[in-house]
Amino acid sequence: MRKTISKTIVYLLLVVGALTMLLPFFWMVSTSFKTGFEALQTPPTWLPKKLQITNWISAWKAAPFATYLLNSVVVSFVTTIGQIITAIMAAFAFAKMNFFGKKTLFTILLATMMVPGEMLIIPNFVTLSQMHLVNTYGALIIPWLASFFAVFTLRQSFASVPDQLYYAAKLDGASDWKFLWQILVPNAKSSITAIGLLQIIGSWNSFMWPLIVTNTDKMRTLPVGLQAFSSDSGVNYPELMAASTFVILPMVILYLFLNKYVVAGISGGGIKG
Amino acid sequence: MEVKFNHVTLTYPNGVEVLHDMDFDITDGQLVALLGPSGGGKSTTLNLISGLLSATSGNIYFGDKDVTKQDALGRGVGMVFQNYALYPHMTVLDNIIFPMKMAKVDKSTRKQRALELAQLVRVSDQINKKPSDLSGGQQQRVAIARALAKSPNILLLDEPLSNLDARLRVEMREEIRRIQKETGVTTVFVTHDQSEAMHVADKIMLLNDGRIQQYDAPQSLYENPNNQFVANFIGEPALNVVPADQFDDEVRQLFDGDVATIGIRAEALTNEVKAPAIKMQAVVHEVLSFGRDRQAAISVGSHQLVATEVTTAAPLEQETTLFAALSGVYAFDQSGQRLPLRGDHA
Repeated sequence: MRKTISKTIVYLLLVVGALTMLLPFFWMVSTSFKTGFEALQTPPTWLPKKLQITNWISAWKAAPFATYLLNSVVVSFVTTIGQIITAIMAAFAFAKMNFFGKKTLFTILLATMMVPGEMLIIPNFVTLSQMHLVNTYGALIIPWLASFFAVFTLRQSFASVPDQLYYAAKLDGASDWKFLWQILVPNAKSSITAIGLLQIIGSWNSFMWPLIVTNTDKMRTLPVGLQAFSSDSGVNYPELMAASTFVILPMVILYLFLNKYVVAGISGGGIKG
Repeated sequence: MEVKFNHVTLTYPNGVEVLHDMDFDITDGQLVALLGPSGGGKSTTLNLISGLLSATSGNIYFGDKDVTKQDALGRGVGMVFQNYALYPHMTVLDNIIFPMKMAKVDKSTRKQRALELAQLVRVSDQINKKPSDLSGGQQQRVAIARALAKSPNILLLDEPLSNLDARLRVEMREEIRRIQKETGVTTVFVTHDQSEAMHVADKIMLLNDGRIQQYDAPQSLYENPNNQFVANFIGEPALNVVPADQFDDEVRQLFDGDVATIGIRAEALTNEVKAPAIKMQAVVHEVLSFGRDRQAAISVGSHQLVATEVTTAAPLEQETTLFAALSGVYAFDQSGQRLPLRGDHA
């Protein structure tokens, strides 16, 4: 009896939590079908009185979203793949190799995680503008090719692989390079997927940096493109919400497919014998 | 292949010498056990043979070849680790194939050889499973097959049986012996379990404190220990050690040298008349029977002894005469070195 009560309470809390998380998404989708007048009505309506598909069509036409989409895809994938590769190699060095100053270097890099991202915007911008990279893919991609968070997560996962496996591979004739790619990486698949997914979502949603380093439609990414709906005379909410929905849709789909790796990768390092 | 250690020592970077003057020969095709308590230097010696550690001084030979400066790969050793170290993401077959893949053996040859090895270690019906789906014994077999895959000069096994349950341990130690005899590969294995070493090995190297205490056939180790440590370590129950002053001069005169302690094997002590033997006055406290085994608790003076050949006919709690068969009685000097019987300088 007591067990059922506590279980009910737990589930009740979970349901409340889930609804709270889902509410903005519901509001976004619902608003995207409303008329401009209904969107701002008080008291607000939960569901649109009449489905307005026109918001979606005019939203897509309001800005060059096809270009934005292409830019977002290119930037997200290149930064993610780059970050995974650099993280794998750095994590291997920190987890399994011995070199002079390893601990000091690791501590210094760990300390960089304490620096707020906003503080890096100006120095990074200055550096890139002196390299004449502003308004290019280079500006959108290069600063994000390595992330210590990814290195750190992977290092933990690599370190949990027993050293015997390394010695066994050595005796079997595998070089460090082959051990890394043929033994360690396949065994850290869930951690790698997790950091990849987090990065791709982060990169897809990033707003501040692309806004600063790009100034033409040709280089803008989707989140920056959403600005098209706000002007001096106000915000066109139904169209903004329609555009927001199609901007986040790819990430939601990706997450649905890969979410079990994220959970496994974050919680356990993911290595099972 | 023959392995030869020529005055090898190993000193750790912090200056501690952990192996002292290791000088021995392992005959080609033999199965040798490195036996000893934890911290005795067994695994360290194994790692010196494998090349995972390199010697501080001295030379190591495989056959006629000096391999002292060669790394693990160059020496061509196969190794089975205590936790087997199978690659978790590969199937059994891929695990066995891996060393041959690294050695760039062509595809059909390596697959065929892997299948032969799977047959040899009797895992042919498991080849498509992942290591995590196998039992401990099967993982062990796969690890042996993988170590044999590149036709190693020497096969090394680090505590191969310690992760198995008691029954499987007996089964696997027979298997290791069978596989070793079938392949004829020189094999060295580390264990801290004397019965494992006694049952399987052609020769046992008993190590303690980074020194070879004795390197001999299992039976010689038992019958003819070099020193008190060996006599104590080999044999179950452990050797009874009694200070020499508990015995009269007559007993001490039997041995050549200054007798400090006398060791008596539990299985040499009996209440039945025996010769040649030394006689002693003792009190039997109790005699317990476990199936075919017996164990008696007795005392000589203030010293507690264990005997396995005292019968239930022995009178309890009173002074009786016991006999210790001379073949199971050893005398040691102050430093623990074994003293020979007088007139017996073999």
